[in-house]
Amino acid sequence: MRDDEQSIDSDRRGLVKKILAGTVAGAALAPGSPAATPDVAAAAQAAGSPPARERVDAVSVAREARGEFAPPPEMPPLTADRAGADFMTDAIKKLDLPYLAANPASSLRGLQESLINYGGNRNPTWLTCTHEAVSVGVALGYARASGRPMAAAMKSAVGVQNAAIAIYNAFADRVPMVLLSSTHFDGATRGAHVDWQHSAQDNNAIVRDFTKWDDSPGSLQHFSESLMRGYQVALTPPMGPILLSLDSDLQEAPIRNASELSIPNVTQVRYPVAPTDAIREVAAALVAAEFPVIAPDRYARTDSALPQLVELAELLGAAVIDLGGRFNFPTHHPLNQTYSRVAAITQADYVLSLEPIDIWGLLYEQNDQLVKSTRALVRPDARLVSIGVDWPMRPNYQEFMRYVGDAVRIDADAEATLPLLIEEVRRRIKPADRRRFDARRAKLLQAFSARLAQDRELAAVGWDSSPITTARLCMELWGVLKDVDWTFSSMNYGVLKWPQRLWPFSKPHQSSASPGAGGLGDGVARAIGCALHHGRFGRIVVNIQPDGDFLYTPAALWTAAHHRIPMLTVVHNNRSYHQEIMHLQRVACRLNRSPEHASIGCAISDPDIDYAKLAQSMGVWAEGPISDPAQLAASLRRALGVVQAGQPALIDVLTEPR
Amino acid sequence: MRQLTMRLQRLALRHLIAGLLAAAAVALAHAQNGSQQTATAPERGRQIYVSVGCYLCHGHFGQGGAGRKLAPAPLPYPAFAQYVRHPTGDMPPYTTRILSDADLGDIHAFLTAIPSGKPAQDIPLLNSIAFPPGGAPAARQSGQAIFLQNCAACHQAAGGGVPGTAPPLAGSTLVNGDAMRLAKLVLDGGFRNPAMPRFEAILKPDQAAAVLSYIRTSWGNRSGAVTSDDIRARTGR
Repeated sequence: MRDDEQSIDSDRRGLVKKILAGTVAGAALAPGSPAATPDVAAAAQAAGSPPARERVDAVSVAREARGEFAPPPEMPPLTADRAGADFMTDAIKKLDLPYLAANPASSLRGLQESLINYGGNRNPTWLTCTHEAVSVGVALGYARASGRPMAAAMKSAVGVQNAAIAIYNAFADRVPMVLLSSTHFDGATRGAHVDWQHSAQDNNAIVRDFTKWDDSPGSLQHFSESLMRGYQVALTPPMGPILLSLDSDLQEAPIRNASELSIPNVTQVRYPVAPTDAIREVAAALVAAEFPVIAPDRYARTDSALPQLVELAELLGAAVIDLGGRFNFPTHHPLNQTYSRVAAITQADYVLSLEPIDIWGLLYEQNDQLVKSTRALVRPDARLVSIGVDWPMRPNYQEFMRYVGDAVRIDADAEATLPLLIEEVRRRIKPADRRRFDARRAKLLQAFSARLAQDRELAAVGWDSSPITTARLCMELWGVLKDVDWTFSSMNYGVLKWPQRLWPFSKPHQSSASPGAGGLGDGVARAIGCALHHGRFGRIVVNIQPDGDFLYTPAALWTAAHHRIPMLTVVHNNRSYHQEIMHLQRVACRLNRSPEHASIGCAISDPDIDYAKLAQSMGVWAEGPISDPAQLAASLRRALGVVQAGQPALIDVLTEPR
Repeated sequence: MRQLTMRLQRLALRHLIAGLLAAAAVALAHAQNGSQQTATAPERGRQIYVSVGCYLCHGHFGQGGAGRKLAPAPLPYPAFAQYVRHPTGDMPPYTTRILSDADLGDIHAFLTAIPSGKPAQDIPLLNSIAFPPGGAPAARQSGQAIFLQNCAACHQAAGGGVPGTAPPLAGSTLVNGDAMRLAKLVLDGGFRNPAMPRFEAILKPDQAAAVLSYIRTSWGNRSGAVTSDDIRARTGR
């Protein structure tokens, strides 16, 4: 023990002895009580040392008699019946938002308290998240699954910074959500240190490049109008996240002008339909085309979209390439040529793109060699027409993709336009056209069947090997899910889209996946949002979760466990940021250097992460790592049982890289 | 202009000859390597396959992934080597400075040694994947199966080909032209692309007839079928 520590210890021992001997006046009183001060202790001793409680009472009576406890006449009120946040709660409830996901924040305390106590924690129900990116990811998953926005809230500055990548994903996905942040507008009412550090004079600017609209209301009336306006903006195509920054003082101050406040109605949004002449032109071209290709991307807004597109494609016997911005077309429909894309697009003389994201990527191919070369896939005489509402809303982030100059664009909502287009096509088809379409249908059936047969054979290769092939993983999953109502929340790029290639996705709800901006870290959060919606219908939400993405926000699992959100997470565990290894391999080979060290900086091993234990630590049922393919089905069945009982479950599977 | 055209033609011919010579040299190296192969060549090949990162795209057993399926039944060595050295798609090039001919030969030996697993129809989960009505008529399955096993890796299941590597078969004038000329080219070789193997030793006459018929009647091709008698008459077998 050091000298100074011995000295402190010696003093402490002496003090304890004195207390036990009753020589320290007021030792039995709570620290800081008035009786513990030296003058009161002396008075008590002079009075003959009565018991401590009696001494205190006597002193208190004396002080009260002197009027020391009466509030000063100038003291401001300490309570109120209603605060500004209560009015905000009323306005939020008018939107009927089912959930609000948030990581708690001091500058949000007024609204949080009001939503819980005044609002009864219903519509919205508060979801506890462990990171702001999780909050927004949940909102993204919910909106993709339900078509409706929910809310996410976050602190100003640091909270918005944390949420940024998830907001960018939502923006690039054109997903509506209501984001609420909070800050101290008035520097004079901020506390020291953190209140200043976490305030920004333009908090919304942090994410303005990738939100559709924002505001910082200066009054309660301003808030209610901006909330309704923001909701309408979020739901008007192209949809997107909106953000309101709320003043902390406005939340917490009593309402002073209640009779002057009002909450406007929400404006109903109607979707723009293509003009009649444009519909006629497209219909005529589709009927006359030798080999039309329909390429939907962010097309399906509602459950009506998929059957509509099936109807149009079947009328024409047209090939469909589902580009996956939404789930647009049944995977096992014989006109689905998504996985024979090059063969289909090279034959096309007419391409109808629906809500396109990347037309260039559909029509061109670029190889990634030392000297990049580009090849047009589409015939030079092919006509391209797109129907869509999207436009480059923001210039900084380049998610608007490469420009294609030879396209005719019809500025309208494709889903709203399709019924009219179908009727016009039906009206124009003649018997001779039907014979032509039948021949085309037969040809596309052959191509689809050949592709499916090839994929079945490819999936069989390495079936019993370990690490488990991604095809085996996906087919074992199919084995346990095929008899239940299921839905996917993930795009499954890492497992080569085997589910989409081999499983029959036929119902609109069977995939809520979308590509976003490719920002990592929202896989589990999206699945939670997806399960909040689909769980109400007893659907099993499945998330094939890449390990690298998982590690950004693994604590999202805790939210699933805490709120009892049933969902099945299957970790595609290749112990690496595998795509990056392939990039390093490519660059090394170009430079005639060995790619043997390409895993440095990309491998997630040594030590290997035990995802099952990680999940279990947060209260999630989990098994793994599973490396023997023969054990996979039984484990998945156990996990399914857990999910069917209303809880989240996770299986960690050691797989091939891809 | 005419002189320029002739110069370009000579240049193209020179490149063609150089390419064929290179392919022949690689084939010879492999043949020599093959003659020296010991029982450990496939194992050595497996180790090299992993260390230089082939598995990153093609899987540990050549089953394919981000890259194409390599095994079982890899491309014949000359075609395999040609593509590894001079890939025309997205695959990174592996020159001899990274991978010697001997190493490449051992990798090929490893891939060749990978046994065929169960076909999809013997795996209940895969066999349960249904085709659309009329999608898999029995009469077409034989030719289709041979095509998927031997041809689809390059020409793709839908016959669209791969730019710079394998020409499309859908709508091809050669495929839809004289059947015996097509049969001769497929069986004897003779295509400019050395990556296209000779199939005479791989396909029996009835198999060749089935796959040629499949190619000539699929993906919009509407040319006549080829019979095994046609093949026998041409090959004398």
